[in-house]
Amino acid sequence: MLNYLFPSSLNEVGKLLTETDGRLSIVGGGTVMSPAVAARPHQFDSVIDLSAAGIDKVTVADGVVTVGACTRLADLARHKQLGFLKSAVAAIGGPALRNSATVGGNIGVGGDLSAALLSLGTVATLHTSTSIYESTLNEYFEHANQDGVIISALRFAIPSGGDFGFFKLGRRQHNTPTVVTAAVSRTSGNGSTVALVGIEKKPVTWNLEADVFSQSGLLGDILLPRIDSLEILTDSQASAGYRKRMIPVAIRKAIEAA
Amino acid sequence: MSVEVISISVNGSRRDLTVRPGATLLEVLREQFALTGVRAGCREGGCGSCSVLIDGVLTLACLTPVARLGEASVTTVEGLASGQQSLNHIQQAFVDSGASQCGFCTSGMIMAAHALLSTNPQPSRDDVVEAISGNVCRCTGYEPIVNAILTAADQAPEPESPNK
Repeated sequence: MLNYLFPSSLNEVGKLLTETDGRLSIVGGGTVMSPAVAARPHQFDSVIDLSAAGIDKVTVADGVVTVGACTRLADLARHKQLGFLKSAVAAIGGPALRNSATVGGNIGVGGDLSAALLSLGTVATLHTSTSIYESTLNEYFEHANQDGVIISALRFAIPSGGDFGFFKLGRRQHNTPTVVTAAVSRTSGNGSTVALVGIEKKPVTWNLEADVFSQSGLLGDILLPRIDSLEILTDSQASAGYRKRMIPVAIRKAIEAA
Repeated sequence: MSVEVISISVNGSRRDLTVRPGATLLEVLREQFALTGVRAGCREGGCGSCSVLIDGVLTLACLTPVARLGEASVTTVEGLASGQQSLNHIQQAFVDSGASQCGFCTSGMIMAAHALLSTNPQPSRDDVVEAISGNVCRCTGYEPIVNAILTAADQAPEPESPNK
């Protein structure tokens, strides 16, 4: 018998992770797991639905944003202090999907929003059945096995105007899988962070000592050696060769969008 | 088979139902309410043919566990026309513009149009294209659909004056 559970707090989520036996599914927005659970309910013993766990809010204090992992993408884009993320959210799916899909879910699949948040140096709050800890989002993606790890919140500073840019290259204008998604942020000490999604199996993050916003003429010198070292994907959207040629284009367009 | 009892409001009427745990709103609307205007297309959020409104918000029924709904109200394409009308102005515009061929995507397109025009009564062509970007059509090439939505925007009935 499928046990469908609605914990009302993170404490309750933690308790359920510890106490629930058998094959467990975690549902956030539902865009990935709801169809799987509906189609084959017998493959799960329990479902933990996070929609009521109180992790769907955005707070801003002293220029630092904390986003609950179950915040809907549409709500993120509508937040009056997060207009700089509008283009990143608009790049994901269509309007109806964005009303269900969550920030945590998009991070979980290494989606386009990952590039934006990685470039901003985001810190994630992570829960397992035995611990709660923080990790940079970059470290989160570095760990091979994320089974049993739930993101509850993401924290980053609001960039100053002109210090953040995002661009997604796809085959269609809207609702398109990515060829290359690029996000660029200026960091302290005249550096910058470039994050890419859709290039390798996991997002790629480069922390650079150069300010690519003001040194675009040096883009080739800075980035080409790094691009050469990537294991670039070929898939239905693009060949590895095409992606490789488009990486500097996407980064340049992200800089222009800042 | 295990079941649970839920209370759900669809097109203005609330009913109590027994559903299986994990059931999606799509399954319940089609099988228990016989609202087959909500299409079962891809069943994974990619085609938009199952689009409904939940408390006025455009949502994909195939991705929505029905157990989440609580007190929320669901509106399907069957619930758009009001009073003595058989079709609302958006539905009529689709008919008049030849924006439907096989008809499979039409419900979802109309729901997406309704959601757009509720918040943006005078959309640009680009706004319409973006609004239906989550809805797939294999027949029309999309232009008749875009034109129908722009026509519906021009022909929207005046809202009733609160002083009447």
